[in-house]
Amino acid sequence: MAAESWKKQTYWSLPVYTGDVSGVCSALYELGGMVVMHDPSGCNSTYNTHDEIRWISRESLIFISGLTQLDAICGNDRKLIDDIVQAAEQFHPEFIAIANSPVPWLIGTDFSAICSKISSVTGIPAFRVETNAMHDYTYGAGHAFLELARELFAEEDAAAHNDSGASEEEDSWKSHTETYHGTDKAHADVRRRLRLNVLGMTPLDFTAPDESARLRRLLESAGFEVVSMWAMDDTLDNLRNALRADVNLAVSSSGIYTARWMEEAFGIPYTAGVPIGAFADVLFSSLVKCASDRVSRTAYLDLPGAAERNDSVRGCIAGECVISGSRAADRMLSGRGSWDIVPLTETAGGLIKAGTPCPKGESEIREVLGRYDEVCADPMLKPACSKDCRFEETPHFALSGRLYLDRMGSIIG
Amino acid sequence: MLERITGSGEGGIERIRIADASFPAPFPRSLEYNAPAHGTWNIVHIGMAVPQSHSIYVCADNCLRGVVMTAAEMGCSDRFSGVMLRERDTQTDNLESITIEGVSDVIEHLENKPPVVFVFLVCLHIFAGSDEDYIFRELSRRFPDIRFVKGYMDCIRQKEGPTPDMKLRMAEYTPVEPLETVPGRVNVLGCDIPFSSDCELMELLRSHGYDARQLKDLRTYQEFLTLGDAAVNICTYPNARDAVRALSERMGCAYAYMSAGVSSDEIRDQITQLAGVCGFEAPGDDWFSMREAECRKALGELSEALEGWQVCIDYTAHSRPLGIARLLVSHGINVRGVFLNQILDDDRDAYLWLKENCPDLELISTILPGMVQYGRGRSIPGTGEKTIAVGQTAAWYCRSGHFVNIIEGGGLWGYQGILRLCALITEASERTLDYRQIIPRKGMGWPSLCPELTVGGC
Repeated sequence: MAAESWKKQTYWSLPVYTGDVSGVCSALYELGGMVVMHDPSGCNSTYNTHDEIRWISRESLIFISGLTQLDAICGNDRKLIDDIVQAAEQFHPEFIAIANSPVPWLIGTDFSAICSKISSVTGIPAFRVETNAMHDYTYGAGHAFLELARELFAEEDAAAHNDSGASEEEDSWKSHTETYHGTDKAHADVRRRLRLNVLGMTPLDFTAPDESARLRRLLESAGFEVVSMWAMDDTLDNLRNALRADVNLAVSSSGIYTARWMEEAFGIPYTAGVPIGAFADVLFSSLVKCASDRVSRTAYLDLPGAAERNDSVRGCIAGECVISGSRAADRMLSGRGSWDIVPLTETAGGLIKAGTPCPKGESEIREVLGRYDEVCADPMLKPACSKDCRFEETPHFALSGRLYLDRMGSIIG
Repeated sequence: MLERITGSGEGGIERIRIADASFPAPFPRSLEYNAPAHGTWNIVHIGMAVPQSHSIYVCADNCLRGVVMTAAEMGCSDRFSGVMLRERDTQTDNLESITIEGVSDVIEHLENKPPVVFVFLVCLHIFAGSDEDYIFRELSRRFPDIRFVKGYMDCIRQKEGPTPDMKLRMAEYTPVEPLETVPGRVNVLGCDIPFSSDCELMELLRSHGYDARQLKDLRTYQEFLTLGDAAVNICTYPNARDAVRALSERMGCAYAYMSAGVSSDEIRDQITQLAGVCGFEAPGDDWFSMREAECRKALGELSEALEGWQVCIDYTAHSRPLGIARLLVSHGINVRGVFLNQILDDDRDAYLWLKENCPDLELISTILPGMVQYGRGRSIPGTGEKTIAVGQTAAWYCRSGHFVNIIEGGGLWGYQGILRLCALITEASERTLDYRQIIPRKGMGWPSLCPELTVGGC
């Protein structure tokens, strides 16, 4: 192995983020499907104890397969198929998603065939979300949304590949935004017509009560029509309307996979960002511009000076990229100085400025956070900061789990 | 009157009459559901019970998450570390390098070097064919002052052999070497929940001049190692049976297995056995008779007090849930159901007795998929306000705040255990607890640093 590469993999006192398998479950929790973790035992308990706040109050069909050594060695996929079919016949879920732990990945389980078989027997769409328990939740939730979108819009995707021209509606809309682009009043008018999907909403990032309702109200009061919200407080039926949207808003890195796919498959551009404080109006304008020029954006990086390293940086905001970036943008716009983003979750490509260090493992996390006099992050990261550091706590459920639920403030405000 | 629950409709295969249940596996294997009752100990808690130990888990992110947060919630992050496995680790070698280098890196960063380190290997190590001996030999060479103990979080093997819990209990005593025997010293091991000094087991030992120690009495690793000087080892919990027996064989000392008895006959036998193995004179018949009469009286009073009530028991509350059911049923108490997924050998007699004498008693799986429908807006049919749940899982599925909050037998043993159980059930009938705040907390007996566990509408 590469010299000392293990240092990126050791954590002697810091916790790790929620894993990919839990991310899948969190993303699909409210949509009436059935999620099966192909795993011997621990994933389900880990998920519902530490990574899921809805487990006590809201029913969801989330199970593990109870994989055994013998079934793994003998390649007994029949048991998995039969058990899923039996449960599907009992519950009639809207869809079946399979995520998996390390051993099925290691032995090369043919999930494509398994899903195909399950679908053909039950008549229920079944798909695999590519996990192996070795990634964090942004990867798992992100791929869960992506696979769900691929499943929901398979026909449209095929049709779009056969017809590369812009639709009449798209042309009409583009002309409309081009005509009115430029004034606040015009922006407000445009927003009234602008339809968007919110992508990447899970309680792993948006934990505070009513966070999705707060976001919806904020967007609607700014003149946008929220077509669908992936995936909190929305229904699978409504998610099927997502292609009606003019633009996608990725509110976390978990949403970025689907945003990029919808752009590629259907030409729906996206903006990444969360409407926080003073940054909200910038984000809204970015959405309008994005719909107009069909160019996707990472709104918090589009601020003047945000794309370059700034020598007068006041501190850093560490954690998930999109939320951290939006917080940094809010601070900058409200006169609280320039803040670096320190991405600690896995999905960061395109969501941070070039050259941003992405620390992995406790050594690197301590080294990077230790450079700052002010740090805004989850309280469990405080020991990784310098002793004299001014630390601002922003508990993040995907890191500290249930430990700071009583301090879990709204991100959106 | 009990409703009929057979058939493929509501209830399905997850609830069956004991008359129709097979031994030892009354339910089929299927997908598994997990109820939000987490008070039982897991391998993190068991490992941490060894004083001054440090635990290092070498596993994938999703697997590491559960154990690292267990340690954090119990306020023991400083005794816990992780090495996160990546895809490339399975391609470079058989995980030996990342395990050795990762564990070494962790240890080098610890301010205070622990005397004993539990290194937990996982399913991936098994399937990658890791050379475990090499890993531990190399770690011992690098850190000669540290005793390394091999733990497993190999859930994939738990249905075909000892569970990780059982293997860890076996491993945790491996550092204990035979010492010169101290006459009169007795180790009471196995059960994670300590026995109170007034239970007959501890009281009889003390009154006959024995120095009876439980794990909780040992504050340092050096004290832990003195377990090797006992004259007698007594195991009080099924999952630790093999471990304490193996320890006893290594030490060459006397050994007895006596998990908490749940009938007068059984308790009488156990106490007689205790006297025999320790070498004191067993109490006379009057001693037993007096205590048995006390228990009969308490159970009779409980039966009267529970007029109109029913009781449900789960396997996390006591390793002998069917034995408890038999005890209550035989004293006229209405036991509605027992939550379990398998029947242990220890409970076989009770199973047979109930099959004969209480055939409509429900056995209810806690993990079959159909159980997902119970616990939130809906309780197990027929349960409700007038249901006393013995155990956290029963409380969840019956949605009853009238619950006895114990795990692993709650430190109940002997006649005192029966009297205490009667008192706890009576108490549960007289008050309600907010079980939704209590049962999601992990590792009963350890601190829980979690605040209120519900957020807004959740």
